[in-house]
Amino acid sequence: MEDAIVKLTSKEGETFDVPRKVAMMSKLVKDTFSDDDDEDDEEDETEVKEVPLPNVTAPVLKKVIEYCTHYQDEEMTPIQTPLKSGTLDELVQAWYANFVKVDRNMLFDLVAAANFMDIKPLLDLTCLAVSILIKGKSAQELRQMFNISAELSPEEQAEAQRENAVAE
Amino acid sequence: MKRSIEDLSPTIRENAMLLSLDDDALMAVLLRTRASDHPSMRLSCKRIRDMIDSFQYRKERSVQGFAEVNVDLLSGFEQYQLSKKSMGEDPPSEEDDYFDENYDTFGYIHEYGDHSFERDCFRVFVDGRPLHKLRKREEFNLHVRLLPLCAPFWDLCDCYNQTLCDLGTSLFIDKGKPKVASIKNAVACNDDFPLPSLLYIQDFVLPFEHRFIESTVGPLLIKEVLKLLLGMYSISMYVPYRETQFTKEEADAERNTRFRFDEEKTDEDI
Repeated sequence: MEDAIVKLTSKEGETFDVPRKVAMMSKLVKDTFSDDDDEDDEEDETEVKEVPLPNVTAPVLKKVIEYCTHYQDEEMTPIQTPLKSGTLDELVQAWYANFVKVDRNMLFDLVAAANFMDIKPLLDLTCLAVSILIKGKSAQELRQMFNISAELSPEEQAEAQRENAVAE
Repeated sequence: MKRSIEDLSPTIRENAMLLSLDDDALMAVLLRTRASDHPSMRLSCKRIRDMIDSFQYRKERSVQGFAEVNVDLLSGFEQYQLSKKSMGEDPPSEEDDYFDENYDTFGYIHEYGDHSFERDCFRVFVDGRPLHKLRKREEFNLHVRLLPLCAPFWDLCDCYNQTLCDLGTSLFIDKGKPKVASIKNAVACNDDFPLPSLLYIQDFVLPFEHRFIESTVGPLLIKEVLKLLLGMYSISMYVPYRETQFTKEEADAERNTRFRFDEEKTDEDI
């Protein structure tokens, strides 16, 4: 079982051979396996299984596999909550801090992939990277940074500002 | 200015990134943001604002350990100012004889040298939301007493409430020393060094979203209170009672099952 291989297939149909242990970091993959095992207990365990991931593109899946593979050698330090620091390097090891130094499109794709594949440490890491991007930004800066064009109406702005003021 | 639902929903430019995430993934991101960033995030767009303001969001922050809890105790003079204001009296001064005689740095000194801190004495923020400003006591309440452990301890306990009276008489002698071996051992009490005080949490009610057993808000809040009064007590006690543990559904069910006379008015009617 240790050497078993799982084939992960991306949205484009590209297939990646991944050691079972690495692939099992994804709860989605794990659940797929346990469903299959329930259906056919007699199945040959050495058989290569294929898991389609229609929501994940090949470049993103490659990054996800890179993360899960590295995790086997160096487990990521669990991120302490509530967050104590505003810099990635103080919260996780250098390799993980560098791993999320990618362009914003890739970062959001990784968030979506980690969420879809249900890989908690990767979701924690990528969401942390986004929260650091958000840190200290004004509403205007956030809209600019994330391409949000839907501004609140003046009434909604006033209401939100009033609610914020109550909290101060 | 009236706008349609379509106008209010965020229009995403090509490659919109953050808002291109589905609700589940967006929630995962927003859960991990700092409370200090919430005001600007709430102003950035309606989808984000609605998510941050939702019951589910507050609950998940609390359950997953992201909720930030801050507790502060008003100074004695601030408490004095507050009491004067509530009575509609003149603005007070620290030079007032009444203040000098009846207050110390912690607040008003009661008959037995004890202190009572009701929710107005605290500033409690959970993710920047001021719980002390919630109007209904069934949504938030915090009442802490500091009771000197000395004679006549039973009289002191008796003048506040029955639970405290029962606890006082069953766990302590009238001089304030513990009767029970476990408490004695825990505080390692010594006759030469009288124990300072008992910190008694009389009321502690959290909003429904923070009442789940996995919620981190309750423990963090109590921890903050204990830190604020550190050095002032040697024993602390809190006896939870059932209403404070109710979920919203249980509280509603309890309200609806209570017998009511035909002409009796409900809280809403009043």
